[in-house]
Amino acid sequence: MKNYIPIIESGGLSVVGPVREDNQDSIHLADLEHPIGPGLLFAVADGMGGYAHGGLASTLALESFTSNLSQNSRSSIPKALRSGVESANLQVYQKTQQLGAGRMGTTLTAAYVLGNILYLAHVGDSRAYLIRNKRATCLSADHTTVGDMVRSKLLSPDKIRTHAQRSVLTKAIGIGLFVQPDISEHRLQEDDYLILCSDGVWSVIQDEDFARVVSDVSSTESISQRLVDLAIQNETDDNASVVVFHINKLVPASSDHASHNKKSTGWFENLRKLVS
Amino acid sequence: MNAIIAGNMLQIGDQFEQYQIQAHMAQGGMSDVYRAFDLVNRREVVIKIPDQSMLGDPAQFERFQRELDVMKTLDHPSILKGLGSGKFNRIPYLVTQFVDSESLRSLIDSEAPIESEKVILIIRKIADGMAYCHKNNVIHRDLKPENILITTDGQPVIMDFGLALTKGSHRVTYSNLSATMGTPDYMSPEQVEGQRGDQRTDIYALGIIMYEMLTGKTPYTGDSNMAIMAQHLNGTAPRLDKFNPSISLQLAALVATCLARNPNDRYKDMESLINILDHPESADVTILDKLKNSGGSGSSLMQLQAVRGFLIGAGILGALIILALFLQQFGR
Repeated sequence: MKNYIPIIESGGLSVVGPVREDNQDSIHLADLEHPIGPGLLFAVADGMGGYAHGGLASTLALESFTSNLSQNSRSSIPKALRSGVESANLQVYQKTQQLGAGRMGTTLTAAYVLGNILYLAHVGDSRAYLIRNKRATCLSADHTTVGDMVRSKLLSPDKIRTHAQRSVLTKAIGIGLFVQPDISEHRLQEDDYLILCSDGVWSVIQDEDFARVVSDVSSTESISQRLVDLAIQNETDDNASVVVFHINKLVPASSDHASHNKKSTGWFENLRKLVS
Repeated sequence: MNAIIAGNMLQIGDQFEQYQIQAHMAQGGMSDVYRAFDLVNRREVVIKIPDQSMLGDPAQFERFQRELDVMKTLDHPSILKGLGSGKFNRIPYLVTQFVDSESLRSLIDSEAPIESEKVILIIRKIADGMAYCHKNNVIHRDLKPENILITTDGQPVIMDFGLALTKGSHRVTYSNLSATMGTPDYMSPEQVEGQRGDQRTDIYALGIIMYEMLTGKTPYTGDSNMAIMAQHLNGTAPRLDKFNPSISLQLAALVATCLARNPNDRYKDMESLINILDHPESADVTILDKLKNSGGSGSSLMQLQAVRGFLIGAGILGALIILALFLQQFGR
């Protein structure tokens, strides 16, 4: 297996939107000039709670998640992501207790790119889309009651955006002492676009429209701007946040010592991991 | 008053404006409910104050505001009377009459199965109140035994209009942090599908309540909310006259009509339901012929799913065993 260095362009935007009074979303974009660790991290968090507590929850979760991840260089990436989510969860949970703030919590959808692999850590109903060959695929599963209903074939997927209870979450960061994130791995290709967004965006934009916007404009900055504009135009009633990154190129790494470890993990190892 | 500024719970004896707090009655998902004494009008009242966690959330707040608006416009013996509302230190509160009562929930828990005549008597009065609501363009959307009080002289009083929609009001989404959206036991199929529902949604809920009063249990039960919702969509409630021979065919048909999966097959409005409640003998019993499987297709569907799940599980297990044997062979 070859190792790659991804050449990435990214952009992102988070706005309060026409209905809400404050922006409870937070976003994180990797510093492409001065990357902290070996990989690049992008994330969206959509907070909720009274007063300004939703905003506090999403900021706190992202801060805690990123700092935990940067200190956790020895573990495998899925393990590090899991531990990052746990740390974010505990931070928000403890802050809630401390403030006596009733309830506050946040979603968290984080994308970590290392080489040509995308790792996703996901809790809640923000989404991650992969746009490849002009087609949009949602890589995350909504942790909502309506999402559960669609997965169990009770509801057809076209009902998901208009369902009266669309926003009822089954999982969120900071609500309980423990939370189980979805962790997944995806192989990236050149010219892939990844879009992370809050439900204020995807609830009013169809999957194919994400793909259309990406083919209409190419720069990641203008894609995020266009998606947020479109969400507002389609009368979103929530904060709207988008993070976009583009795999411009995957440059094969010259040294192969980094790939040495990978070589030993054959199909049997993978299978064993899968079974255990 | 500091307590209410901080949004902390009010204490017994606390006073704000003309109200003196006497007891903390309940904490719902959305609000705190207190019994208080109105010092000006010299009467006991109930005060509802939104939970502080929703104060900053405009959508949640709108829900509370809507309840305020709805209750102030309604005046009927079967509807909990809104006496007033106000804001104290920018926190809104709702004042309603205090009713010496028990909830229909506790009546069902202690007395169900309840005899037909009594059920009809109570449901008739609830339907009366709901007909009044519908005439005023208010759909309750969350009727359940917990939301209906029965006074000591047997008058039902409907409350909790937090989900009520005035026709034409715009859609409100709320970020709900709780793991569920409340009990799906009384949810209509169209609500499961995500629609807001109309007056026939309330008729469906009333059908479920009648069913529960007559039998002691709701028609659709299951291990999870998902299983219950699936039955609202695909199941058919077992025939009531098969459950208990003392329940007349006509009453069984009346309830079955309320519980029709397609809203078009239910009574078209509360007046039509009231008509039949007043003259049960006129109920159209042909609907019962359509419910051939008195066991309910819901349970047979679940059995089918269980069998399928078992077969899939067995298949996977078999494949794993073969794979393990295969790997063992080649691992040597």
